[in-house]
Amino acid sequence: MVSQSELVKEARENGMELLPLDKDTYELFFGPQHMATENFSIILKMDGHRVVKAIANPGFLHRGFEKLAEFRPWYTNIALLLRICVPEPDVPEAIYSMAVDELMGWEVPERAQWIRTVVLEMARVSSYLFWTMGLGFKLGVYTAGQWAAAYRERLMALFEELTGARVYHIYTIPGGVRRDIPSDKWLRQLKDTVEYIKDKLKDFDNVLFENYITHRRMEGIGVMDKKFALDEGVTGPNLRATGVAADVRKLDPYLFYPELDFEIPVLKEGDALARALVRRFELEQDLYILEQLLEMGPPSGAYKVQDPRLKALPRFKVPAGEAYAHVEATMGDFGAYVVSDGGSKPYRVQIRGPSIAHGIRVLEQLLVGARIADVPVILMSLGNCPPDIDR
Amino acid sequence: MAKEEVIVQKVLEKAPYAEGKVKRERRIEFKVPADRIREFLMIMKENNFESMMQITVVDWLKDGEFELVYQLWSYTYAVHAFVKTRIPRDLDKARMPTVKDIYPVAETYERDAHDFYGVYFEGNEKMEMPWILDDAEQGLFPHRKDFDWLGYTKRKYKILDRFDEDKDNYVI
Amino acid sequence: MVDWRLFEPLFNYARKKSLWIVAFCTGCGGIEMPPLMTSRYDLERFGMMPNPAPRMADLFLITGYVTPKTLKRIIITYELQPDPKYVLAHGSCPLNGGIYWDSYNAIKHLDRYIPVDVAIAGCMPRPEAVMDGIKKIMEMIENGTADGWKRYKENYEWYKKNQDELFGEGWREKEARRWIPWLKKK
Repeated sequence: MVSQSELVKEARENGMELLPLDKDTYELFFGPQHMATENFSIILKMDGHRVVKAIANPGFLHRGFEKLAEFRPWYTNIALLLRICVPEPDVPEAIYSMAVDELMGWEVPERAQWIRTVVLEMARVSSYLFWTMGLGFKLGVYTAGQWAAAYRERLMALFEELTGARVYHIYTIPGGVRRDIPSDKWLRQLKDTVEYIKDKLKDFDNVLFENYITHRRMEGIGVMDKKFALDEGVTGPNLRATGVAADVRKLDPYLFYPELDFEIPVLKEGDALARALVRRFELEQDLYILEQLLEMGPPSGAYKVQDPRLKALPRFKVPAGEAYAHVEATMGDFGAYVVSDGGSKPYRVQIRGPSIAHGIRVLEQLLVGARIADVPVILMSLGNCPPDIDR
Repeated sequence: MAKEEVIVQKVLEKAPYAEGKVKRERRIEFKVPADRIREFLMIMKENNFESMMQITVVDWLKDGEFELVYQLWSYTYAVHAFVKTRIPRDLDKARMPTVKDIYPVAETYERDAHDFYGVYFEGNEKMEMPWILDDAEQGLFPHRKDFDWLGYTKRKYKILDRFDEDKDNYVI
Repeated sequence: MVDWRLFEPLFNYARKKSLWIVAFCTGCGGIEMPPLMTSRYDLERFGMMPNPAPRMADLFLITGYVTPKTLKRIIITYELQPDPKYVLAHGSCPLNGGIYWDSYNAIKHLDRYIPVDVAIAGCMPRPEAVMDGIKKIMEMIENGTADGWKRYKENYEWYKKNQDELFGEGWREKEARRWIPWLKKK
């Protein structure tokens, strides 16, 4: 009979490292084959059921977008770059288009701006519903998850009618949008959908957001304070949950947002529950914004710029220069930095995904001391979206 | 005077070695020599530029230089600042001091810049830690302009020359 | 002794009616999985459900493009699955690289590394297209033509050669030990 210590010794001699790291701790791979992480991996050093150390391991979704964009003409890039952010693909389209608009010196027509705003807000609502579904599933509140997925389908149908696709719309292009609004009927349908979802918000409150289980599960875990969040470059709802009233739509207004009236929900606690509730309040604000936009009605005019340079798209060139545009996405501040050397292709495109700030260092620090069961909840409350880390 | 000009003046008083200008509303730009970047970013942080948004590396192959753009965002003023600096693009000379003690999040951005461009940030102990790229590409720095992108892809996946008729140009 | 081969049609019929999916969203197609599973498209009526453990799963949905880093995990997960197992590749990217045909980090032909039974074209395929693909794989299971797992066993040398060419020899051990020094560091 060989004792265990001898086995360990023999294994060490053969160059094999056994998984227990030392006397008390062990190594645990969390993801990528896991329902909560969406192809993102966290390597955890565990002591019992407590996390001692966490290392985020991104890169499973890396396709080299920033380099691929250098090989494709300006307009073709739209079809490529939107794949960076899967839950709301309109955001990369919009930031890239806004940056190119700035480089070209175009004044985008009002109608196009209005449509872009509507599309961005629809994307925000559908992304928040998707997130609500994920939260519901991760907390075991499957009813709320099923509802959220079903309501999101209504928006998907509207997107399909407007743009021709369910998920990847390829709709916002430099200088405007690709197609006009199909009909007044579409606007009426959108209005009905907004009202419908608004109606259902209190159901979500009853089942998920005011649920005792949710509160017990999420209160006091993954706490970050204001200074930590600012130092770590956290943006969006995660920052607002720590008490900073920061929103790109107010601070650096773009499109139709200066004319709209909406509030920035802010909570002070900075824990997982606060982050979830901020998102819940923002969903309400987004529906309110959509209502206002629909009340305003689409301005008349063209839906994209009229420019003689657009006559021959293969020879389309953008003057040399650089531009940075950013919008408020549901994960945070999504920015694009576009450099042109005057050629028919971009010289450099950098997309700044919000998750690169809160998905790596912040996550690693928040997980220390958490229980293994809380890891998916913290991950979900941060709204981590791996594709925009990996690009 | 617009708030952007006030900020630029205020910063330039403390950092006379830098050049600064207002690009447009809510966008300002500074050019700083590479060895004084830490000093300059400390001044920026004192002047309420709380968050670092990104470190962008632009590879200017013709000049033989990397342009590093530290992008800062101020919630107080709602102004976005580009802090630009240039370093040589040769692998052994592309070195920068880390700024992770000033903006902790810079650690992640520096790892990103190192993985794709080969800029080495001294003082960042996570430089050697595996980041996005897999083993096969580590040390190749695939986002540099002189990297043979299409040729490497074809060799790696053994795909035939059926995509492009013209070897020098992409069809897409 | 009972000759179990006699019962094979019955088994195949049963298998087709209870396909469990490995919950591994490998690419952007993962965003269409929740709508498929929930009330509107409702895959559960086909007896399918996502399952976290590969040990209990029959069907592997490759949702979208595959990067080499993910492919390592896909191969390990695929080998963990118990034997009759089926692979359904989702979207254009596993077929020929799709929009990432010139990207160094996206697999161009997935069927060189693991056997694929049914491929669905499109980017991204609509839920109806995925359901059509699932119907197709059900038919194939019933008439016994979904034999990817047998092919993987028979041609293991060839698959292993392709995998090793891409990742380098000994990639499994390397991947398992990669993070130990970083975890030990204070």
